[in-house]
This record gives sequence, C-alpha cells and structure tokens, in this order.
Amino acid sequence: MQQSIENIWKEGFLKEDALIAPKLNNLFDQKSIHVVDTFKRRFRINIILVAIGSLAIGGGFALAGVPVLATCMCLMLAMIAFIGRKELDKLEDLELGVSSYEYLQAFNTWLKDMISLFGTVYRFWYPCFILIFGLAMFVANTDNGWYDLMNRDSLAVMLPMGLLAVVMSLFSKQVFEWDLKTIYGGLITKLEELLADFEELQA
Amino acid sequence: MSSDFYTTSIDPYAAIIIKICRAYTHTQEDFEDYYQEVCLQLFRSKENFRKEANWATWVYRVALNVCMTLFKKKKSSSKPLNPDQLPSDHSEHNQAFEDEPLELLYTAIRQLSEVDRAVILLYLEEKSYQEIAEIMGTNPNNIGVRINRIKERLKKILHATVY
Repeated sequence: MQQSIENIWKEGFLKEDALIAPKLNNLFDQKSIHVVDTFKRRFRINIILVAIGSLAIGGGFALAGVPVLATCMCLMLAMIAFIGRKELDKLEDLELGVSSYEYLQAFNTWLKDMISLFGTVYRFWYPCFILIFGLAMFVANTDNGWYDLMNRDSLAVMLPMGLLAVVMSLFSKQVFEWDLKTIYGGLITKLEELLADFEELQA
Repeated sequence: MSSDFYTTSIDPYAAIIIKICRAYTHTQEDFEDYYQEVCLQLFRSKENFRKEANWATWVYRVALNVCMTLFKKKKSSSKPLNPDQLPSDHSEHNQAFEDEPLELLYTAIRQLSEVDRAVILLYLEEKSYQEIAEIMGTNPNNIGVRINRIKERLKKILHATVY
C-alpha cells in the first residue's frame, strides 16, 4: 500500500459514480408500516384483554350470586370485543400496495371512523354498564339481594350511579378519546407528524 | 420534505452524508436506510438549527449522530453470528466503490469504533482540529493525538489486508 490514506480518500471520490445519492421516494414506507403495525398489535391485545375481562367479570359476579347481571355485563363486554374485532378486520384490509401517504391517510380515516363508531356505541354502553355494575354490586353485597333493592331505600346508592351514567353518556366520546390517548397516544402523535411531513412534501 | 429544502439544504451536502453513511454500513440496503434517515432528521431538525451556526457543521453533526445511533441500535439488536456467517466487505454484493483502494480504506474504517470512524472521516474531509472538536463536542487538544493513533491503526489494517 503505497498511497497515504489522505490520497486514497481524495482520489477515490474523484470518480463520477462514487457519490450517487439514493432516491428518497420510499422515505416513509417503513415508518408508515411500522406505525400501523404497532397500532394493530396494541389494538389486538386490547381486544383480547376485553374478551378476557368479560369472562372474568361475568364469572366473578356469577359466583357472587348475581348470574343474570353477570351475564349482561359479560355480553356487553363481549359486544365491545366483537365490534373491535370487526374494526380490526377492516384495518387488516387496508391496501398495502398504495403509496405511504395514501396508506397513512387510509389508516387515519379508519381511525376517525373507529373513534366515531365507538363514540356512538359508548354513549349507550357506558350508562348501561355503570347501572348494571352498580345494581350487581348492590345486590351482591346485601343480605336479601333483589328484595333489598325493591324494599329498602336504595336511592342513596343508585342515585350517584344514575348521575354518573348520565355524565358518562354526555361525555362518552371525550372519555373514549382520552382512553385512546392513554393507550395509543405516542402512536397517534407519530401518525400526525408523518402526515404533516407528507403534506409539506406535497405542497 | 419539500423539494426546496432538499435542493437548497441537502443536495449540496449529499456527498458528506454519503461518505458518513458508507462508513457505518455494510450493505447497500443499510446505506440507503441510513441516508434516508439522515435526510429525514435534517428536515425535522431544521427548526432547531440556529441561523448563526454553520449549516455544514449541522449536517455533519446530525449525520454522525444519526449513523452512530442507528449503528448502535443495529449492533444491539443483531444476534451474534458465527464467523462463517459474517458479511464480507470484499464481496461483490457489498462493494460500494469501484475504486479498490477506497473500498479497502472503507473496509478498514468500518473496523474502527463508532467515535473513531467519525473522527477520521472529519479529518479526511480536511476539517481542522477545532472544527472536529466542535462537531464532536470534545476538546481540540486531544484530537491530534487521537487522529495519529487512528491513522496508525488504519495503516496496519490496510497493510494486513493487502499483504
């Protein structure tokens, strides 16, 4: 090796093809797929946890002596898991062959539709679940169960539950969005940043 | 990333980015990923760039930081290979430069630590000790000694490779 490293460096880069920059057209591909895949994975885990929760709550309250209410809660949670599963299927159907921007836009549309759907579902679901849960707690913790509910002054327990149910119904969408931010906050921020980058690129 | 930004702020410095990315990658695929990540981070970090600073220095800093971070990530996530599976820098598939001495020099540089790679790249780009220290965030007094040590090491590696 006769040449100094300085000369090798200088002379090596004199050739025309030594410094060809790669194209940046697929810049966001991996990032887009990564964001959506991570979201899918968390969403799937969430659905499984809801399904397990439905069995646990149903089983727990059934053992506590309120099998009818337990079945209602179990079915309500199962319904959430079922709707979630249906939404996940739609997400799986997103076309991967399109550009990253179109892919992320499709995902963003799916996310907005999903928030809107669950916002509507939860408007009825939250109050019903709270009331059933309150009833189940009351009946399971009193000596004479349903008899006490009908014949004792249960207003002190059921009134706050009713108020909470009304509040949850009114703010169902906000509560769901807060819930989403807690679980998927970082991902949603990343999605927004990526879309903003793309939009600047298109400008 | 707007095409204006690419034309004015990245294109003139593409050679620097390519040279740095090549030193931290073994394959064309990795090189393209690193290059793209550096460009993306330059675009994202443009808001943090202070106008009184030098954009070229900023490019060096961002490129080196991104490459060293990706390199560390890749190193920590990759499973240990047995020596037969190690990629050969001399293989035709990984050959980045047609100029053989340059390719050999890159192969030698890739055997250095992450920081030594950065220092020697800046030295080869004819940056002063002061500039190297500024880019690396270190004391300029030790740069000269370190460069001499790295050059000696590179010579030994190159000598061993050729003979």
